[in-house]
Amino acid sequence: MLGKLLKYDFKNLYKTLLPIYLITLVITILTVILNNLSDTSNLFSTLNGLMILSYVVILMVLVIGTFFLSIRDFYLDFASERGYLTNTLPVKKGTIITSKFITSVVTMLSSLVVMFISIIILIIGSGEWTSFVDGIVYFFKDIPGDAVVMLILTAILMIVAYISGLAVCYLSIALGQLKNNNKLGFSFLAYIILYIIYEMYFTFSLVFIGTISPDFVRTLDNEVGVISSVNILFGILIGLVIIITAIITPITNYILKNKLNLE
Amino acid sequence: MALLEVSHVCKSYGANRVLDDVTFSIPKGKIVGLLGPNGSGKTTLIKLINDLLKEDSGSIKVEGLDLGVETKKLISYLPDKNYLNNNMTVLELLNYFKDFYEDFRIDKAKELIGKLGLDLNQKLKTMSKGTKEKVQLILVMSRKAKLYILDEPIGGIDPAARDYIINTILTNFSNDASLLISTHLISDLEKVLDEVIFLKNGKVVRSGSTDEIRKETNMSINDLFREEFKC
Repeated sequence: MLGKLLKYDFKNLYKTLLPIYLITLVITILTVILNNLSDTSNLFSTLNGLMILSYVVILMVLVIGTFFLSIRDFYLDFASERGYLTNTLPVKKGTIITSKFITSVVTMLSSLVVMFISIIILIIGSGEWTSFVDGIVYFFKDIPGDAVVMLILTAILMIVAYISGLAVCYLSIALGQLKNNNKLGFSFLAYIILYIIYEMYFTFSLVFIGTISPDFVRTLDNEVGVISSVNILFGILIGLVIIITAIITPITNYILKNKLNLE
Repeated sequence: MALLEVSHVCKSYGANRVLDDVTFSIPKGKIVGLLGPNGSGKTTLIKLINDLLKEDSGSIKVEGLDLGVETKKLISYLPDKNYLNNNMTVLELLNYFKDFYEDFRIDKAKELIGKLGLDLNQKLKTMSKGTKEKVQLILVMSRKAKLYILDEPIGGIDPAARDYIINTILTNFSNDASLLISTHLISDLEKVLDEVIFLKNGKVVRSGSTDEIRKETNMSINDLFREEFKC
């Protein structure tokens, strides 16, 4: 059933996202063209300024919009009239939630790929491709092993942090739908409270690690290099994010399975 | 074994008790009317049976099973609102139902859609409220379910459309299945109901076979409803 859910969830999200991707690429190409024409007249120069502004806005819409669409989709499927269909499908709640996580992460990655392609087009269009490639080659040429690990850990941290952010939003919606009225308002309230708890969890966990193991902190400070320290910190953060997500998600599943309130 | 067994179910919203010790059962092969005025608890009861709400106490079983994935395979449910994704076309909705419900008869659904003169590629959001309701009914009645639960399928609909809906329901549900239909428009449905459940202020005040109730009270179900629920 997961495959079928994914098929419809992807279709549903990409119906909105594909036009945004297309607009992004059109604005990118227009930005390149106007950028090249901007020296020829004041009009093109002004238009170029406006196009650069549009470009920045569309990149923000691309990332924030993808996240917003995923959350909206979850809300509509669990706490709105569409929930009458989703919640009467002969499918486990856990499978529906899993599908939402997968589609949210994949659509965000695809939006980032579109953003990356757009930036590449912009660089090629501005004639800076060679120097850009040289810069990248130079950056990776003598990169220390620790820095490569740091880049990988950063990517992993961003992905797990995104999944964890989704998990907090999903739990907020699950809690908000428990109320008989103003479910959306209570979802926001739940999010604010959960966010504070979430932040406190990281602060207390890091303080706790420092308290129980002062030697470890001292080692981080003195004996290993800066990048290694950051890597260890990233590793700890990844672990903490996974732990809190593993706690939050079953609660969401429990509420939607046993306390569904489509009033 | 009864197809649907509702036993001592209570449900409150805050201090407001919506259902109070509701008990009844529905055998196989019956058309049962869930009758009561607005606010009597009909929709809440139907949502409980469909696992969209949780009872405070009591139990609900379908074919002896607790509510869950297996009972959802047995029930075909029509809510009293538009619950479909408006961005989907009719064909996408048919495929959606085919994918998720093993008992969905897509050919039957296409035939009924064809009779309505609808384009399979038309999006739901371009349709009128009445047409959307008909599409929903077609989807629900094209399943070969054990229990159909229809919440106010003829409420707020003009008489011509009412006939279409009643006809679609009766010609598409098999004899071994049961139908629980909630309404306060009894005159249109009285002739097809085998049994009725009268719900008043969240309590079952009368239930049983329509023939026996008519014999016992010397009144039609419609007249009895007016008598029972007069303001």
